[in-house]
Amino acid sequence: MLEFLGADIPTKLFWAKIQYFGIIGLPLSYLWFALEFSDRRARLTRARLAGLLIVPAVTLLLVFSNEFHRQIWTEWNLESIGGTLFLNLEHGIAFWVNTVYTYLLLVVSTVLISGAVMRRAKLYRRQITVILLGIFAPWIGNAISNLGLLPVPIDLTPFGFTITGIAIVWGIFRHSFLDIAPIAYETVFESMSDPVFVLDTQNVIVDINPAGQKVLNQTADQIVGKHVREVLEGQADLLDRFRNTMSAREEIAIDENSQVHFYELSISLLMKRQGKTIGRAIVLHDISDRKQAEAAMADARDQAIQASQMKSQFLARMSHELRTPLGVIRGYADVLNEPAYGTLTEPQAKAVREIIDSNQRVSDMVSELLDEARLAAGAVQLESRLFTPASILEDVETKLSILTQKKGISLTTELDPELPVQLVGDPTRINQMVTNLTSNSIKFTKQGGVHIKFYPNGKEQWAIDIKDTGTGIPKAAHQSIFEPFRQADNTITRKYGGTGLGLSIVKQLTELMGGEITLKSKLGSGTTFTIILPLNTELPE
Amino acid sequence: MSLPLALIFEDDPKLAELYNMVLKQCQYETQVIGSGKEAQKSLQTLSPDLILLDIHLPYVSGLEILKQFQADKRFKDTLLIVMTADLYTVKDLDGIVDHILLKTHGITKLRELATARINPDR
Repeated sequence: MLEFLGADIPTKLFWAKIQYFGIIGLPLSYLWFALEFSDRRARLTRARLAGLLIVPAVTLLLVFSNEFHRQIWTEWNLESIGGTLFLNLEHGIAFWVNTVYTYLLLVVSTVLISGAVMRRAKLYRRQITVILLGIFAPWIGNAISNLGLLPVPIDLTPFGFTITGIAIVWGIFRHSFLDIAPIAYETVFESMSDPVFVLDTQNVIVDINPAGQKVLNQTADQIVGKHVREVLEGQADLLDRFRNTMSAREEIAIDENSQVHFYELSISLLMKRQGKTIGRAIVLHDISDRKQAEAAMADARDQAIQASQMKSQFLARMSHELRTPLGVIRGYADVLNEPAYGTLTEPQAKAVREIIDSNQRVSDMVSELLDEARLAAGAVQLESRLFTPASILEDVETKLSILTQKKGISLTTELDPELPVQLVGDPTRINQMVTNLTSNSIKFTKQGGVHIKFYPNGKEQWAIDIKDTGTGIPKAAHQSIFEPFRQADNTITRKYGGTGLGLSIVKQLTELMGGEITLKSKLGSGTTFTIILPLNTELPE
Repeated sequence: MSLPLALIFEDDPKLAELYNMVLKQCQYETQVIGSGKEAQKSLQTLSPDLILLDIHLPYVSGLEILKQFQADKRFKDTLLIVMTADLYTVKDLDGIVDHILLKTHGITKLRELATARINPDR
């Protein structure tokens, strides 16, 4: 465009030559920008830069000495188009060499920028549109001019670059195009609520954000340039601990004005692009609130555990206190029952039996209460020893057949021959579980009987079925029946007795053993409880 | 011939009285001792044929007395019956002592054991 400044050939030719500073300089600066933008500036070594400058330098030389060799322009004359004088130029070989070279630079730059754009595409979509507009403008301008598509002989490439420039400026101001790196970092650094300290390799503070200044209660002027040891006098321990730490993330406690603050400290190395360490960034994230909440939760948990333990201790004490007089009652009833005090009449003997029966019921309830309390407090420890399932089955049958005989119902047992003869577990507890479920079934069965079966359930488990022909359990109660102090119907306690803890205890023990308990029942046609337990045959080491 | 000696280590007076009565009926000479310290002392001087031990004694626990008893060879022929109100203790002591009886299970078993000790053939 500069050639419009003159009216004669030498002046126009002079400006056409000056124009070449732009024609050569713009693609080069464009490449520089592309390298910067794509984080590849480091690859531009001095030698490579020198290589890149050969063609432009030679071109410039040829432009200014064109009259002697005519390698850039072979012919030049003035042409009047619509009353305006244009310098009409015929291009020489050197012009085309430079044009090809310019295209090459444009291609490389475009590829670099496009690659970087793709990487950042998600974050900077609008900015990317702007820059793509800018990238292709010089291409279009240059192509139009060189292909002679214009009615007037002017070069549109500089126009293209002008559009590139406008697009980039527009991108910067309107769409925060450059907020990618430094501006963004600076803003984040300044506005972060977490204190950030930047130390150089000598541990001198080179930067500190406002949050950091607030924590230290000093301004940046007072802090920057000082050794970290001077600034954090009170934290000698901490400094020693992290003096040479290059990377860390851990929780620390700092005593600030006799109040302990908790921080999450993270240390990151700061490196130049070439990989050389230039310092460390230390970020402190205040986690005092979180710590306080954690401590409060731990306190609450401790209190709950303590309360539970106290409840357990209280119940243990109470049950001991209750059992001692129960023992006295039972003892004297036994004495009466024995011939030591003379033979009893039948009504006297019946009275003594009633005393013994009721005494037994109260004493069983006390045991259940204690069991429930111990289970709730997590105080029950299971044994792990070898036992014979058959002997449990036998023991339960012997113990409870007195009850079934009294009621006129049957009690049968079945041991699957496939079940290993010996298992490892807590036989006392398993006995208790089976006894509990069986006596429960006996309680609710008027006709028919109760059947106990032990059998393997796959290779990893074994199962216990307790099947009765009793009243059955309504569907709605299938879940709640395992909750403590619950029975399917609250008239049950009155009618059949019991604490309502039996099933809850069995369920908790089953789960403690890593098993599960289920029930199948239909009103009027009986109930089957199934306990599935892990099958162990090896003693733990 | 003097009667065999039974020591009753039990802090509850009513239970102690009951056991005392039963053991006397079984032809024992009895001595009731209500505290752990007294019990320890008596073990140093006396040679009982039968000891009835409440595992929950005040001051010195029944477990301490159990240790002392088991460490002393003089008691190798003494019948030890541990009385407890607690099922968990029964489990803990299983296999460690000769007989563990639940207080709530009455005295029939105690009478059997005590009688068998004096008349092994019967």
